[in-house]
Amino acid sequence: MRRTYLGEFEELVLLMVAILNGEAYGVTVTQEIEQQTGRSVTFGTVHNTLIRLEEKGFVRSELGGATAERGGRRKRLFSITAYGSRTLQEIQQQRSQLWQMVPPTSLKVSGA
Amino acid sequence: MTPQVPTPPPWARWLLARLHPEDTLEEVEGDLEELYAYWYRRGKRRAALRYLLGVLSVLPPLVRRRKHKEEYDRPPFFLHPSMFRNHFKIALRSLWKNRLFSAINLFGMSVGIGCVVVLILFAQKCLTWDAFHQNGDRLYYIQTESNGQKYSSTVFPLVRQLLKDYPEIETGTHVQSWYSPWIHYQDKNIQESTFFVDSSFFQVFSFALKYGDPATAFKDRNAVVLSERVARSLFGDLDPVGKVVTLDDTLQFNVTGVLDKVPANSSQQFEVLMRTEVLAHLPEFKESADWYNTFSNAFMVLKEGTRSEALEAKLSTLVKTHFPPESQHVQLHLKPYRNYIHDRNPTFKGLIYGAIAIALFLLVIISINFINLNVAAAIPRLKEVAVRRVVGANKGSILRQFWMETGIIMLISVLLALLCAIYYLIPAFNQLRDGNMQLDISLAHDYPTLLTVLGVTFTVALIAGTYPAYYLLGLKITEAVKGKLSNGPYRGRLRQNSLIVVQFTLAVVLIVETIGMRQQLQFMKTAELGYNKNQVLVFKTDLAYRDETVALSEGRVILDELRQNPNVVSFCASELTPVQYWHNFNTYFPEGAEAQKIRLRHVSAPAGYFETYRIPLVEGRGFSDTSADSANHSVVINEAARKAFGWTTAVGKQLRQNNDPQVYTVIGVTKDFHYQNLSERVEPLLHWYSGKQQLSSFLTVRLVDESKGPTLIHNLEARFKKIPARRSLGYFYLKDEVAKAYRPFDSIWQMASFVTLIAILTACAGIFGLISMVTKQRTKEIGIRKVLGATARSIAMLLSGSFLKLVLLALLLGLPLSFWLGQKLLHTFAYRVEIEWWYFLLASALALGIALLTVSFQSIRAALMNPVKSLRNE
Repeated sequence: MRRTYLGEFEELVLLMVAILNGEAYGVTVTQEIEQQTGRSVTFGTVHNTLIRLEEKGFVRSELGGATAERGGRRKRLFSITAYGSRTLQEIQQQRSQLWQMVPPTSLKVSGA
Repeated sequence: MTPQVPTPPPWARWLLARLHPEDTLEEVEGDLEELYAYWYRRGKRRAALRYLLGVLSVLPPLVRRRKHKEEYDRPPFFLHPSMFRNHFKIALRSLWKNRLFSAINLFGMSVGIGCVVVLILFAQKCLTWDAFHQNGDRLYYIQTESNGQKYSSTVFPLVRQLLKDYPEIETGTHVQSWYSPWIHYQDKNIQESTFFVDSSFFQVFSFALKYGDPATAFKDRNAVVLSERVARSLFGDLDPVGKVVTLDDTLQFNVTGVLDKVPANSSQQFEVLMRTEVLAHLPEFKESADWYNTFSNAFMVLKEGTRSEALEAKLSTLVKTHFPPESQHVQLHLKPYRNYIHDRNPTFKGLIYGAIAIALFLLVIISINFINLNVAAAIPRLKEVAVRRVVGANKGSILRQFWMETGIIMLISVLLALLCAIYYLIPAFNQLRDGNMQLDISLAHDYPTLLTVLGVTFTVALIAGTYPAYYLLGLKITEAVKGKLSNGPYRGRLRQNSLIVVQFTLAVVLIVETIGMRQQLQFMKTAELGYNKNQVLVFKTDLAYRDETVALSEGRVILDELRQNPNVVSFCASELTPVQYWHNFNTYFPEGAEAQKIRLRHVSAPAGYFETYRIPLVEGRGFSDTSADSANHSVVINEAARKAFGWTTAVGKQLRQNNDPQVYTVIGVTKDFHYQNLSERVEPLLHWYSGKQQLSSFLTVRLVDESKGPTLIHNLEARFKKIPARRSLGYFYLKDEVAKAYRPFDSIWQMASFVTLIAILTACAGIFGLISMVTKQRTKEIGIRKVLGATARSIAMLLSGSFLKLVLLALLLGLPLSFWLGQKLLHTFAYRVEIEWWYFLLASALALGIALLTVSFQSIRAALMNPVKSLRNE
């Protein structure tokens, strides 16, 4: 098994970047996580995770053009890299393989 | 978005702006503001809270910093370790690549700086001479002026009278030399230079005591304070305070203190100190210690706020009331003690300035050299610097690169210089100084000097690094990358040329002066002294006999035996030898003509004196024990004295001293022989008859042959051992003692030669660096010339020629200068050699020869290079 270590939260953020497809930045990722998972996260956690993902090469970023919103400040837009997407797919594949190996009876609550 | 944008709390925004990392501030600020607006829709308070939480979560240390890709666009901070490491590595590589340069640089710098350290240290010690006394600004000494002559001494009773009469004087003391008693403790017996002082001594001077209390050290009359050295030789390492020593086998004295090491730059140097009261019981002293004899040194501390001029003006009344009629003309002066050394030794200032001048001169020469060599070594690094600039190094970075290199050289040379100074130069210097002020170096005391030297050298390093860096930075980068010197290879040529000229001028001047001094020394050492110094053996027979009468009768026997000795031509027992005459003067005038008085140096001589030393007499005869010399008070004068009196013949003439009815009769006139070294003129001299031959301070023996010396020494040593005495027999050959008088000159000459050697070496190193640079720059030119048919010889000539022209120019400047300086130098000697043409010839030949050797080494190598090699690479 290839060792691509991706923490649970990192995986979540990476998935969000993929979902947002070019529209991912601090705000959208935070909102998406809140809306999709109901988890409440501090902005700093997201910010740090995005930087870490970039360092690991799963995402890349660039500063978007200035807009009239947010006082003319630029956004840093993140997009998933090929390596990132392959890693996500590998994880997905591995999971589904594992799911298939689970005997149907084992997940049933006994006695029910 | 609604036009009414909700804004988060300003203080939280301020916090964010202040503390969040700058490079991600923009995006984070924007994100958080957008999120605030989003949260705001669900309640203001909640939004504010979440905003604050968000801000806190992106403040250090929680926030993760973005690694910059932009790092490489901007030159890194110069103290950044990796930059430093890079500079250091490149510096070491380039120093190693130019090993020869680096070695020359290192050697020149370390020897040069070592000398500078020693000289500055010396100058500093001299400048702070006697400056360590706490009352230094109120400390004065009494100077006596009589007939225009100034003496740093006065009459003995003065101190007591001054302290009694003038309340503005806080305290005062004598520092009186008279005799040095033998000090006896258990089995040890020593005699050391002794000074007699008053009980207030330690209130006047600030000499530290190692043992004992300065306040009470001289409370008792029979107190003795010893120097550290004497205390050690008597008591070992024990604290001797309270021990009892015996003086001259009779008096019991208590040791009350041991002096700490007296600073070398103190005018007062002591071994043994006692109270002046000890002298009071000596009849000879009592006789001398009147208001007439000027032999006592007196030191005073004035009360705070006292004007010394006002007090000095009052001293004339003291002269009127107390001084005897014959010394009423005497003037007393109150002189600051800090000038004591300068008043006593007027050449002292010259010594300091000389040392400073030489130090500066050395510094200039080594700095010039260092800069020159650095420029030379930097030229081939044109490409390297250009490439550095292309990849983004700025001016500062290039400068720091060069500073690093010069700094490394400087650091190593300073360290080497210190080692060289401590382990070689200072001991050598001290040996040269031969008993005069000795240098020592200690970080605790001399750090200002060391810091100064360090500061100066690093300034030089900075300049020496800046110069080539700016030179290379000034070149066009596009051409520099290709290795072309767009500004032409001869930019800065004037500077380099003038440096060479200066260096060689100095070298030539120094060579000429050194030759001149050597000749002068040689002349002085071999000159006809007017007496015969060969085959003369002198015994020191002043042995501190325990019983004088026994010694004298034994001595008579020894003298009688010498008379029989076939190996002895003649002998005499005298108080003096011509090499160490007293500095004893008095005024004489011909009987009946008081107006014609002259100042004569007067010394004593026994019978046989002139015969033994072979001092020729131009008229009359020498002393004799058989004639009536003692009854007639016979004297022998020299030609200079005869001339001073204006006589054509002197024998039979009568002389008298001031205030003395005694009449002296001249019985002979000697030729003017040199009783001082040849730097001084032969002054009028008078010998008086010392009485019938008997054992005295010296026993001079003229031998038939020097080879008979050892047997005689052996015999006499055995004979004298039988006489009870505290010292054993010493002896010297007269010619060695004469040579000793020239030792200070020898040491000056050695120092001068050393400086000359350094000047020559650095000049060579400089020229060597430059020729290397030029040949490197002109490699292609030389190749083309060779291809076109130039011979190796013509090329070598071409390359060397321009340098030799510079050396010739230096000669043109240096030779007249050295002539002028040499004249000045030699005129300080009363008897001197004249500067001869061959000095200049030799100096020129040396300078040219050395330059030629240095230059041709490189130029011939360049000329012999295969043109295929030098032309191939473009």
